[in-house]
Amino acid sequence: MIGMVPVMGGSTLFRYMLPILVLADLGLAVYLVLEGPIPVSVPLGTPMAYKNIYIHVPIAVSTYIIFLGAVASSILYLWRGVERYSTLADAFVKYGILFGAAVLVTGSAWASESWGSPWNWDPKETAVLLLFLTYLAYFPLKNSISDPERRNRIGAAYAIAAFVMVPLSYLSSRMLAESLHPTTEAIEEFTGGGSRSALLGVRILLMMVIGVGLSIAYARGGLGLGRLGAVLAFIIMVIGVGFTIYIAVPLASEHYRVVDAVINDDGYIESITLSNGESINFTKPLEPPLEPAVTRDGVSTLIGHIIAINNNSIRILYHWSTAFDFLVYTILLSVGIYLAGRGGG
Amino acid sequence: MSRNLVLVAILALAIAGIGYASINASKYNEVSSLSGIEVPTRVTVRGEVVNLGFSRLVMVYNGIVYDMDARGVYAVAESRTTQDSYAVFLLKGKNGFTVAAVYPSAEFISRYGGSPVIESSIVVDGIYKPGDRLKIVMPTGEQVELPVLEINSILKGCHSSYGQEQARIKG
Repeated sequence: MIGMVPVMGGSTLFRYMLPILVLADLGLAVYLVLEGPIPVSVPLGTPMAYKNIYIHVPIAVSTYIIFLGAVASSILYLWRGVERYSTLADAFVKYGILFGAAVLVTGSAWASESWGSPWNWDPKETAVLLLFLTYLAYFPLKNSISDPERRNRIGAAYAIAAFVMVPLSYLSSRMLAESLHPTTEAIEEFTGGGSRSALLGVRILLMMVIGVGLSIAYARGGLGLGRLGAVLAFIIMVIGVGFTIYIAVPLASEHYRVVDAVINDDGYIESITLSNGESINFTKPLEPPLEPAVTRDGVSTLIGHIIAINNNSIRILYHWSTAFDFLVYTILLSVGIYLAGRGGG
Repeated sequence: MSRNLVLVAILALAIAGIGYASINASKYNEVSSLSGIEVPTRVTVRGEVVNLGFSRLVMVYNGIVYDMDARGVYAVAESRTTQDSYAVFLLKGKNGFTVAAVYPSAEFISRYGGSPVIESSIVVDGIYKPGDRLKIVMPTGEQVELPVLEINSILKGCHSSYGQEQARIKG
């Protein structure tokens, strides 16, 4: 770590590798939102809201890692007393706050559909909010101390101490039985098999490297990309907004939520009941838009989905929270790369 | 260095204490806690769902008579005179205190579908109205009168979703 900061900050490899990783992550996120699997049935809302797992979870895990970076830098500062480690801790906290805000916003959007309300004071929600607020107090605390050496020392001690909220937030969904939030094992169980699940692991890893890399670049005075950093941030925004529009636009047209569906022995849809109470019987049974068509219990996997019906075919629509969360994710990347391009150290 | 360690330890203990207390405070209140409330209040509570069996009951709420179709852990009540319809749950606390939680049927069905999976214990957010009473007449003629909780939303955990097999969109 001691030697890594100056070496990485100045290297051409680091300068260009980070933007490449950001673009790779963006591409992977698009792929997973389009092709990533969803649960066959869920207790509430549309199963498509679970596409948010590919956006929310990587940001959440990388937030923890970024704050871990703040702890490592702060320990180094207290040990060696070298100013640049304090600057590095500042950068990690700044990016941790950015990522933390994105975790809260993306989680709330998803919860509004899958838990029934955007904010539920669930133990994990409370813990992550506290983690965010604790680190948010880092800069006001430091700025309130005029003596530079004392400011950095107390700032470092605070950054280390605040990290205690990370294990607490990790354990919070186990501390109370009625937590709405799943444990890490539950998410691993869902994503535990197949190549697409492995890709989620790659995304989490990429996001962690990006979060740490952006923080280091910011602390080192920028990637040295000049105008290219701003151009790259703009390109990310264009891709993000474009994809958001692509998945959100169908929601502007007439759509319904399926509350029941009858599937025949051949796996075709014979009739559906919609949330407005209307039932539609298809004279020619329709091919189901989902695979499998029924759960192991023989219940249609169409139930809960938001759909549009066009030309005697059913199209599954994304939930607005996925479009919104993807937009938040791209704003996060754009702001992150823009700030790292300019540098703050 | 030891001064720094002491500072870190004190700060960490303080933050951990606040964090632990806050997380514990996030625990949802139990239905029993409503017994002490005397004015309409917004609440989020957890309660055991009383199994109503599968029978036809009669409900009286706000002076309107409803026919009640009990479907196990909940019932659908339809007014005899108006278009009003509710999904009704009886939520019981650990001390036996029970409330009737009512949820407009249209909203309930649009959110939970035709065959909702209701767990034995649920968390609901809504307005508790201790002054409003809801009367249920059992097939035996026995009458039960309960305070009312108007549900805004049933908060569902998503744990069961993650153990499911995976689906994907075709094409």
